[in-house]
Amino acid sequence: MFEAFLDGLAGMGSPAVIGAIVLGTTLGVLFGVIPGLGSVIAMTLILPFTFGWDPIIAMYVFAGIIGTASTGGGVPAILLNTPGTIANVCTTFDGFPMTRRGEGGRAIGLAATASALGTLFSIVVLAALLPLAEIMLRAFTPPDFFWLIILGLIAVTFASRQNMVKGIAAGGVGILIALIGFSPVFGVRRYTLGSEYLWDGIEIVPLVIGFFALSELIVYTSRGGSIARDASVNLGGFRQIMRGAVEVFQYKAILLRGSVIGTVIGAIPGAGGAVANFLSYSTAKQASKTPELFGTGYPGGVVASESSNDAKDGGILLPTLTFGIPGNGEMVILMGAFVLHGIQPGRDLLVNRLDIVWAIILGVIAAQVLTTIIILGGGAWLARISLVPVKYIAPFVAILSFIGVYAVRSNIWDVALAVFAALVGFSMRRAGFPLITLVIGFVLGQLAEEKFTQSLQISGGGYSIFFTRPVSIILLLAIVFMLGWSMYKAAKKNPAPRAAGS
Amino acid sequence: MTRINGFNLGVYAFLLTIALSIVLGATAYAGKQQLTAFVIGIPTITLLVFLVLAEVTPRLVKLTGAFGVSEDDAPQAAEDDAGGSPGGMEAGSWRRVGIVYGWLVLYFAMTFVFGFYIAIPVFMVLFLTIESRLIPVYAVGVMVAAGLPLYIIFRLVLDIPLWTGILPRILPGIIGGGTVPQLN
Amino acid sequence: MKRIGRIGRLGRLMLLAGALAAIAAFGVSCGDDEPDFPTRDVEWFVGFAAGGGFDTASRIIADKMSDDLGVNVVVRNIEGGGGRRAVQEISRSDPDGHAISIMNMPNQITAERLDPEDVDFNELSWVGRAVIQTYGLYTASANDFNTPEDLQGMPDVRFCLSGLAGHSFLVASVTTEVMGIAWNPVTGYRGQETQAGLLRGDCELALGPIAGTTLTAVQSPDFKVLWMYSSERFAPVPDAPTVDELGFPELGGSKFANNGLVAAAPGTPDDVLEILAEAFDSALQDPDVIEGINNAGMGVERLTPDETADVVEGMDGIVSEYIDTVRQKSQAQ
Repeated sequence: MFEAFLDGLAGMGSPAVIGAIVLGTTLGVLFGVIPGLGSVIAMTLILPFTFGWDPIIAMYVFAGIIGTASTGGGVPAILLNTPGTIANVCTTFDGFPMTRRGEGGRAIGLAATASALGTLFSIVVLAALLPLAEIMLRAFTPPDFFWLIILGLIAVTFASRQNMVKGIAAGGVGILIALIGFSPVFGVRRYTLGSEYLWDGIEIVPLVIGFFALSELIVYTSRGGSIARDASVNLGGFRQIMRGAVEVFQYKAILLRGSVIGTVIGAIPGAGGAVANFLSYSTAKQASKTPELFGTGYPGGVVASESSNDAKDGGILLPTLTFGIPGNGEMVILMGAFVLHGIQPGRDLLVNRLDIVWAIILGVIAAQVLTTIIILGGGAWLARISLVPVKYIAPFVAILSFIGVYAVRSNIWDVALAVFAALVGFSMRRAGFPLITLVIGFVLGQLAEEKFTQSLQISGGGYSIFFTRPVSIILLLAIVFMLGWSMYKAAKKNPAPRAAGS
Repeated sequence: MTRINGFNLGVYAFLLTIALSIVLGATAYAGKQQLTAFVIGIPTITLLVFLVLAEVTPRLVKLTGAFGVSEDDAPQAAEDDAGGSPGGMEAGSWRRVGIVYGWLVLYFAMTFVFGFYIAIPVFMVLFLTIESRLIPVYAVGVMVAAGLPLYIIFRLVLDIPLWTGILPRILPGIIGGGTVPQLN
Repeated sequence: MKRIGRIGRLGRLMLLAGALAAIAAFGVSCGDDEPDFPTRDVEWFVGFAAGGGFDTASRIIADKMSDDLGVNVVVRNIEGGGGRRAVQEISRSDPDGHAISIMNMPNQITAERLDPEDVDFNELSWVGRAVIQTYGLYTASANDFNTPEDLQGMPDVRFCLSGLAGHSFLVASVTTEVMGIAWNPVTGYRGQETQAGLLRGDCELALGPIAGTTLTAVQSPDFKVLWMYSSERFAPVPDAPTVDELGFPELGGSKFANNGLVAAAPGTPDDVLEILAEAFDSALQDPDVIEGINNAGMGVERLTPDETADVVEGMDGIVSEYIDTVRQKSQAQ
């Protein structure tokens, strides 16, 4: 194994490999920055071209895309409140308020470094865990998965701001609208009102773009001025970015937790970057001594979000490389590339094609380092976006959002949905609902129902399956602890009078 | 302070409608297929009804402090308490909000009819001249400077087929000829 | 006048040339409708996500067809409804041949029967067969059962399936009925989640087309194929017996194979269809294309448009034969 690593390292000097990494990184950043597009679309587009290439070169290109898209996606999340990919949603919570304070550059610095460290962490873990992958894979059965989702839902509810009733209600609505569409578990369509558009339910990308990007566009365009509200603020340029980049180390605990959560969640097929992102953010807030700072432009929030969504890269490769079980869309394409190049994931890959394994691992690392340099270097320039009057920015955000939404599945009605979601999102925010619990309910609710039903199908209808597996029990205890802890905190806080709102 | 916030009530009503239709709709499905709708829907509806009541009779909120419901739930605080933007959303007046949303709807309508390649430049020039008060020459300049890279990236480099509008096919792949996906 | 007089000697030849020119002109004007295709890129719909077996095959074939047709054949993934959105899309497209779609058959017929959407598959303009995927039943190597007899002795064998409506569900229902196996479905397993489910013991069995990523999985030591739904041994998994060998010829042949059939919109003119079918067929004869498809675990068995239409009709019959069994099992869940 070590020999192959050295070979891989030596091979990285070749111009073809460098070219492949640069190509992958460029595509990844580009597709990450444009809202709605993401690594999956980038990989799909490049896949057919790699047909005739040396598989190693192809893997470096794919690794470049995998490693960078969610890093690139942090930039518009910070500057425009527009998450570049779904895994960047939590970055908007603190990144965007920082931008409005004129600290966009600092937030970019934080995000880029946190991303890089998260990736490095998870890749190291991946390399170390490759031999243990089987245990990981077997550990999470549908009932365990179910409890994990419930834990995630509860965690996110607490992560919403103090407004618990509205937070839970919004989460409930999110779960309910997720029921719309074809349910693979039951094999029926529900609530589609006979509409073909609703066959697969409500599409997540238009929902998120409408809720976050377009509703924010309404907010700042109707207000006028620039995104950094204090336009006289000195962005501090490169120095401010470096300040952010170094500052990451003040949030060691958050960084480590985000990286661990990202890696672990990533390794569970089906969970993905968005779940890791939400879970990392909410646990960081839960564990913090100053939870009230989260959501106000707290640097730790950016670190929690960006470390986790990049740390998922290492985790997610684990089941893919060892069993050929892709955990998300990116990995499905990677598997497609394996098939195209006659590579067999699993033991064959780990024994006979270690050069491929190292190409991917080294490729992700190299691409991540490259992206971080690009973003740190170009961040000062990018952060100036926050000083441009919004009346010039708005049309571009609208245009990119529309294209991104359309590109996902080439359905013009998705764009209409995004425009409608903008109205709903804006109104709900005005009425004090945290949109994020709705979105997470939407993402996790469907999964929860699926895993719940699967569990009962596996047990033949017996409910004891939920309470007898060791992982389930651990997760249940975690849920109980989390509920208890929040109640304790609430009880401690509630008697003290506190200013409402701000 | 005790005034009833009609806007909030409207939003609650909208969410209640969604929740109610899904829970009531669930009765049409068999067995386990209704489970989630009921387990999640009924508490959600309860909370939403509570919010409506709290809006109408703010005093109720005080009684619920023990349940971990903070004062933030009082309607007067809600105005400022939005999503991830503490300190209020600071949106402009309702009139401005309406105008901006109108722009979005207009942009969608143009896209729908004429396709992205026409709608993008037209929308940009219109927005930049009318809303951003740029003189038309500059607006066209900005449009070209920004629109051209978009065209190059999407059409020439990535070859992502963009929506071409519902008009009859005029320039294949650019204007006209889009098949509207069925809604029903 | 002068010219004609001067070459009077060549009158016959002139006449002949004139006639030829006229025929040619007529041919061109006639073909003005015909070679008017393709006038722009041809879109190739795939009802599934990129990276799967059908998608891979589509991209390989489309690439080759582009060379032949002189325009790009662009693969577009129109995911949704288990492939049904792409079917809807093609059945609504303009019948000018600029849109074609690959669809998994007879899966789409089963889905249509269980939940009608007014698609008449016999109405589509069939171009040919892109790929054929042979069904197989597989399990984790750690399990100690191997034969139908072993399974007959077990109480409620669990199958990891995608859902209660697809072709796999039909094949599972029919197999268990024919073999006398008591079973229950565990659903919601998309793609490779199935293999994770087998390894974890969520279920004992899984079945599906042994192609693409499933093929790579069953070739690894973690899984074993119990049998293939074919009458001859399946080359990529030569150790697996066929259902014929096991004494169930009624499940054999290519009755339950998964076909990737390609169709254009209903009412596509014959001459346009011919051009498409020709380009499609010649792509399928290209050694590189065949190799690429075979590498992905799929077979190439070419069909003419008419043969394809016949195959579709035959599938209609098979689905009709078993739809009640499927419906009963589905409703029992």
